[in-house]
Amino acid sequence: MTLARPRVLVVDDERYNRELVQRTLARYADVLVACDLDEALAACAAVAVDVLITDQRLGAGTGTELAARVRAAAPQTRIVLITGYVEDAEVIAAQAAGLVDDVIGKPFAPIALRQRVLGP
Amino acid sequence: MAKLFDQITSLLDSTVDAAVVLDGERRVRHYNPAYQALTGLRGRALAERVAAGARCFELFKLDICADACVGCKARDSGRRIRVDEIAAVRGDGEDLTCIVTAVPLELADGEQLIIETYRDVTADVRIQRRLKVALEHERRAKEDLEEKVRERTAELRAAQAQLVHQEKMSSLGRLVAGIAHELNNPINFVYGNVDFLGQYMESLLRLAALIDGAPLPDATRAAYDALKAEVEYEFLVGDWQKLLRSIRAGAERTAAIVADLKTFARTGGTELAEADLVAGIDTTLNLIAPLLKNRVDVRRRGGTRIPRVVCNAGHLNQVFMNILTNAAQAIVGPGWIEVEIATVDDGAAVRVVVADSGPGIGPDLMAKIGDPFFTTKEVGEGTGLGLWITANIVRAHGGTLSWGNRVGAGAEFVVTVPVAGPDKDGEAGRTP
Ligand SMILES: Nc1ncnc2c1ncn2[C@@H]1O[C@H](COP(=O)(O)OP(=O)(O)OP(=O)(O)O)[C@@H](O)[C@H]1O
Ligand SMILES: [Mg+2]
Repeated sequence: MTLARPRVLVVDDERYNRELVQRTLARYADVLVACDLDEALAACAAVAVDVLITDQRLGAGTGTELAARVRAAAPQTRIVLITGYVEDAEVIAAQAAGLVDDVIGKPFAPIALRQRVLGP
Repeated sequence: MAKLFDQITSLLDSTVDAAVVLDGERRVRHYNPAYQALTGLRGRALAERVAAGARCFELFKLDICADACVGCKARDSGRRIRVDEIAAVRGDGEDLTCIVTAVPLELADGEQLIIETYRDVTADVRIQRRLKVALEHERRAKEDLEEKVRERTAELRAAQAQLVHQEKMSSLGRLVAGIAHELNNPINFVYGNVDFLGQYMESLLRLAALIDGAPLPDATRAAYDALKAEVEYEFLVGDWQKLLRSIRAGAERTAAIVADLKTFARTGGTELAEADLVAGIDTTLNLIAPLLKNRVDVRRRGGTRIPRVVCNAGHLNQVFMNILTNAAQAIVGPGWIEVEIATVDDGAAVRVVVADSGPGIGPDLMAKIGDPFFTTKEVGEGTGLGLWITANIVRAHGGTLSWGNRVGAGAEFVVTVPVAGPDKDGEAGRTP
């Protein structure tokens, strides 16, 4: 990250996971949270987001769906997908299409997540 | 005397059956009108032949005249003889079937005569034969039909069985996948937060250490030490890391089971891929753990350096699922299941032997348990498809399945599958 304190948006419909990611990054980034697709899109429209971290399964909608829309609207945003199924066809397709920059499998170790998102 | 002879001939003349009276030399002494019809001779011609001393077989020849003359037998035995269904040829060349009777007769002057009658049963016999043929035909047709119905029923039952089982397995797959997915999130936040809890604990302990070394007013120090004693501070310091380790281990183990479940649930396609049978068996044992809990001791032998096998992993998992479930169900009360995995055929095949401490398979059931729908279990407990489907899957992999009893133990099932997977065209190795 070129920025000293990047702005990260965490999207997950599972509150405890949202909190976990926030906890993991809070010391190194400004963390915003959203619990669904609409909230996430609204946040992206309101401010410039450096990194989007989204779960694949979001109540209504999917992380890859969100990634496609954010990528179109804000191509400079780095997009990291978190999923229980790294070999899910939709996830692999999104990766191949360049819609997501990184995929992290669940469960993850917080340090690993931080390094993958913000660099060492 | 003459009177008796006349009475007899007049009686014969009025019967429908052909009849002749012969003397001891089988010369015709008298014949009735029906007999004339049999000879095919005109009245005068016949009368002349008879007058010239013609013998019966010269006028109307039966098949048996040559070697088993009915009249002779009656004459020699002095008894009445009857022979059914004798073939003959009528004077006009028509084939006949007759019932022949011969009755010996001794006149008052001692002369030996034979009365022979011939009943033409050609039509009856013909009808009977036709009827027999028709009945036979009908019987065969019925048998064919029954056979077809049997075949078709078996086919339908088999097809239905396959469907039922596929449905069963795919709903199991869906269920397992769904559970795995739902477990993902809770495992994630347990696992991920343990690190933070550790960090928080370290921070708090540093704080406490700082206070330990700091000068405090006596009253505060006393209160501080009292609280430390109350919360068992020394114990806590020694224990908290163990506690976090066990939480982390629990989360990791759960994560591993979930990963296994995800593999197991991947039963969808029909593609062949290299798979780890040992892992499949371990997952299956995890899945049926509730059936075994604290009751059945599972002993695993071998299983190291087993090559990966080209197979449909989901299908082979079903094989182990069926065999292991059967073993667990066979054991009443405490017991054991032994699973032995080894390479055989110079590394060309993998063999899995599952033995149990159950009652074994009765000798009368040995040949039957592989049949679809054969079960000894209660309605609703077993459909009797497990082994049949197991055998089908193993066969489709070019492998073999066999079973028997182990001396001093229960049943033993042996699955052998080639490491290279089934032949492309599925020809060789498919021994049923
Ligand atoms: N390990 C075993 N020990 C003793 N008998 C067995 C064992 N395994 C199978 N059998 C016998 O073989 C029968 C058929 O087994 P199979 O797995 O085909 O059907 P099932 O277990 O009865 O029903 P399903 O598997 O469809 O639930 C069983 O009912 C049982 O009598
Ligand atoms: Mg069974």
